[in-house]
Amino acid sequence: MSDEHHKDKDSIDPSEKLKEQKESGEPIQSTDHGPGGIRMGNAKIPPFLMITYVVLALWAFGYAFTAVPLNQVSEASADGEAIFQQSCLGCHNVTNEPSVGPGLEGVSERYDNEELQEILVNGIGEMPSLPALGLNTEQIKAVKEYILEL
Amino acid sequence: MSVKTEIDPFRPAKIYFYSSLFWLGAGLTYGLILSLKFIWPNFLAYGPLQIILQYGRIRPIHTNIVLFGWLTMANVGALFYIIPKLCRNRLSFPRLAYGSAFIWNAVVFAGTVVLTLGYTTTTEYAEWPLWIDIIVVLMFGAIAFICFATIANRNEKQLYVSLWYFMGSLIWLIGLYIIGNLPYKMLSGVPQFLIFWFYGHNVIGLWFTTVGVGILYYLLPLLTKNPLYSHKLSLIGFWTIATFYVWNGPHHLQNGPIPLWLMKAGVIPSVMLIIPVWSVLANVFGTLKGKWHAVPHNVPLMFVVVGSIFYLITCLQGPFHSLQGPSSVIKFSDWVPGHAHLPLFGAFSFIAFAMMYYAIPKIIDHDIHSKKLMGAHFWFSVVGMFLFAFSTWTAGVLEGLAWIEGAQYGMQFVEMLVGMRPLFIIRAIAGALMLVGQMIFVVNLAVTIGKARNAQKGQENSA
Repeated sequence: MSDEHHKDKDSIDPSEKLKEQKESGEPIQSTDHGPGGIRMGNAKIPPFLMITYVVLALWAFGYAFTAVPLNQVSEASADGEAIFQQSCLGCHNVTNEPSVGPGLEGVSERYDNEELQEILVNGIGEMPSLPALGLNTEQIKAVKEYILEL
Repeated sequence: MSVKTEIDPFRPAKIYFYSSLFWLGAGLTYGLILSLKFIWPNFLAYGPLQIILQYGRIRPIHTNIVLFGWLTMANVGALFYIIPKLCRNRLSFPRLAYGSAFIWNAVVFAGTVVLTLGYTTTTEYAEWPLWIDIIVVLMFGAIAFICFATIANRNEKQLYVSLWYFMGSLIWLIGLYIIGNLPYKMLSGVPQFLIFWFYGHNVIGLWFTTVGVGILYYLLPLLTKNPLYSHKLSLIGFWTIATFYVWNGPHHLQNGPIPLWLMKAGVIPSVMLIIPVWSVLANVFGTLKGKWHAVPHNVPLMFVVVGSIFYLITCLQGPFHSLQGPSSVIKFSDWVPGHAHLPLFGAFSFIAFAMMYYAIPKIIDHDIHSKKLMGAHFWFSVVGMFLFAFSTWTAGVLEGLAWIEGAQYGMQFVEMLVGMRPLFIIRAIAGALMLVGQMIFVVNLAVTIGKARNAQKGQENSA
């Protein structure tokens, strides 16, 4: 049993120094220690914790009465004309002159609202869907509203 | 030297500890494969491995193994060791306790097989099917019965605060496991997910956290040889965590399709959890007073101290996440796994490591084989945890902000994902470091156990 090489006397090794009974679990233990050899102190609650408790309680009431839902959808990002110029103008003219794709003037007479929505969300022929171009639902809605007025 | 009696009263604790070591290695190996799939999505994707190691299957396998194979078994081992110590008696029904370890191993194994075959209930941390859940509840019942019987027959008048935590945890675990596993069949839609998150958050908070804090309260005075700083603070901590934790579920559906009052009912108790956490930490630092010089020479104490600090960081993040604004950025991003690893690996696994380093030498009557390897285990774990946390947090914030700008789908999403690759690489390195650290841990303990067996045999021969 060559276990002397890991006896490091500098360190505190609880398994060596704690005067506990052998591991047989016999109920013998000096009673001046606490349960299981643990002593318990009776320090008062530190002042910073008392302050923390009070501040948190006040915050809780404040939040309960004043919090409102967060509206994440920013209106500025859904500018139909700007999105059209960025994402659609490469292939579509705003006049009735065809480019890569058809010109969009009078598109509202050729398609109804639902058909147009279908094309924008899923694409048609060579045209990619708008979500594939990285546009979100709000932005697609803005583009649709813009081209319906052409 | 001592003459060992026939029946070793800590045999149940031992078998739970040893089994947990196996699951620790298995669970972290799955975790490492997952992290490598973030870098090379086709990693190990050939033949049948393509199916049994696909991301959607091994992610729940990883979480269930580390939660129920590793940490639960380590916790139960700790309960079976600490409770008799604090009650100054022997564990009641040792045969049942010993047998339950085998059934528990079979349960984790069966759960892993079922998930590998592609069956799941989709409940986070409760993906195992109903028939396994029933066995799990029966096992938890048996474990709770053994613990309560031991406490009822105690030879020690005072119930130390660890016992309060343990008793609470055992009751809460059974209740929330039953509630959490029923809605898969009985509910649908938003109410189903409310209960899923009630379970998902509370299994962490009312089982792993509360048992971990109980172990912390046991180890700290013994390792520092100081008295516990304040009994009163420990009771404040216990009763406030018991009051506030169970409300935490709805904050996972923050900004989602739930009424405002329910969001508030989730957010306010989440923030109130600062009370128990800071109370525990004040107690930890109070107890350490005057003993800081001893910390660097004592690896179990290093694990306890660093684990406590990770617990503090987790629980500063948690209340902050639950608020609407931060939640809108980090929800669904890589921040979340970073946060989830902090309590489960950083805090409570560290405390479980300290527990084993403390208890196993006493159980087998032999010192840990190598202090150097203990130190290596510590540093690999800490560095791994830090790298993991910071890579996922950074990735999470970048992803969350990109999604708000509109990169939720399409080419922009793919570009964002490609941009995250360096962070995914750091994350995989972190996972590898953690796994190496745990291998060192397991080998060190295995050598210790082997030496103890040889020593015992030598004694028997010479006797």
